[in-house]
Amino acid sequence: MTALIAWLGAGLITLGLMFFVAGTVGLLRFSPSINRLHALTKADTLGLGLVVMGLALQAPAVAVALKLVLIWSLALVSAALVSHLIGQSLCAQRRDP
Amino acid sequence: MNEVVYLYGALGVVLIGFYGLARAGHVLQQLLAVNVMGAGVFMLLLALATRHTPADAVPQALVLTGIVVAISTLALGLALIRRLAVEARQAEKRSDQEALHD
Amino acid sequence: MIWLDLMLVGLILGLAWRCVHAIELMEAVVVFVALGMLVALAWARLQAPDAALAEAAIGAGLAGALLLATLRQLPAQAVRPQPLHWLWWGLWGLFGVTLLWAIGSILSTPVSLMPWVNTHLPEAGVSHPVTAVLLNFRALDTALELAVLLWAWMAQRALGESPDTSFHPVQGRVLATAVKALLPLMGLVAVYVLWRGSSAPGGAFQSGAVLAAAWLMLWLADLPGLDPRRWSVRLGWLGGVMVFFLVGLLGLVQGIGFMGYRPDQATGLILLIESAAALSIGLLLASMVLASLPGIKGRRA
Repeated sequence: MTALIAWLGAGLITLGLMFFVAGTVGLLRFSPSINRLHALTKADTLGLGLVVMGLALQAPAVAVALKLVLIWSLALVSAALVSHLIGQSLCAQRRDP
Repeated sequence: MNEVVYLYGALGVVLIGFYGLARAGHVLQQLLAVNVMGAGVFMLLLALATRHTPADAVPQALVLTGIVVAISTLALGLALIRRLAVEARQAEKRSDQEALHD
Repeated sequence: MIWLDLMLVGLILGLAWRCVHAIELMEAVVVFVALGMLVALAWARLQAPDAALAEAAIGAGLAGALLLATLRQLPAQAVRPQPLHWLWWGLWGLFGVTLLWAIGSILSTPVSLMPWVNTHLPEAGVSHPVTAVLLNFRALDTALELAVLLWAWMAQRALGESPDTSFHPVQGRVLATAVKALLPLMGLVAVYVLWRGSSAPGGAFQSGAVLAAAWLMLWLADLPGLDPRRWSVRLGWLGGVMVFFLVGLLGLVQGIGFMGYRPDQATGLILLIESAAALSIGLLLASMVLASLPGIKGRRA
């Protein structure tokens, strides 16, 4: 049972890392900044979520798993906030000149 | 064993920073090169600390102090660079006005 | 796990090379911030979580904000690398050989102060050795470091820069609402990190970095926060150094020398100093970043 959970956790982390790679490729290859933002936030939210889920499955105690979930939720809030701010700044730049 | 990797890595980082300091084409890049050298010094101290188990606390405390001193120098250096840019702009404006008067 | 360390060191060396070799200033700055994050990872691998936390928050986060803010105000100009004289290469090689020799000789003479730290840890007032070294055994170093930070800020002010509080960057209530919701949590994290510092990684520096971020967010959201005309803010800049030296003088009065604590009072005194230092570090770092942003003054949305 524990071996199965460990493998499941490793699989989730690998899947999450693939999303990180995809997001990084998008960040580097897309051209307008707003598209880059799209690639970054989508992939990182899902990627970090999967990594956190995988780590939570391998966590030694429930408290540690809960802390990981708390970190993920904070990262979600800050990612949404940061992309909102960057998007606003991009809109302002488009309007100004 | 692992600390040897970091020890020689630290040597490389310090040397790269020193090279960058000499060749930098802009004063901002010079400041960055000094900070790269600083990172190399921190790496050397922390790698030396891991030769004991648990890791030696004295070099770690030194690095913690060093990080704050490094950000102080960076902030002051950047303030000087901004002031230089302002002065250069004003000097340019003055010389333009003088050219108009002539 | 040696391959992980090799990969990390390789990446750090590559980024350092890219940073000093970049043609554009923007590239150099972005690579420097990435270098800061990787270096923080390396500190974690080197069993130094205290340094890793401080590096990630201060060395990568706040330094990045300062660098980008400064870059905005510089005229766009290409970097012209300077040709190097052969004499200089000789100096560089000499420096490298000397460092190589120095590292070799350090490796053959293992010196450590850890036995002394462990002997005196029971009377230090805290159980985490790094905090004990920082705030008890080498307290004078830490006090002088706070003085350096204060001095750097005073010099920045003398250059004619002061935090600008009249700035309205964003539309909508998203930022203000999020900041109001997150602030109590940030305060809690700052206090928790400070408190944890007595027995585990954490302490005044990391807590101060969290406080600096909180103050910066307050300012960005245009909520009442950091007004340099207020006496409380000015006192906050000085607070860390003043409390540190007052406690140091207390030791002198009690007859155990400057910066000496009586073992039964050490815990309380260290917590007092750390609280004042965290507040000071947070205020000073936030002020430094705010003062670097006058280029966007007056652009109201």
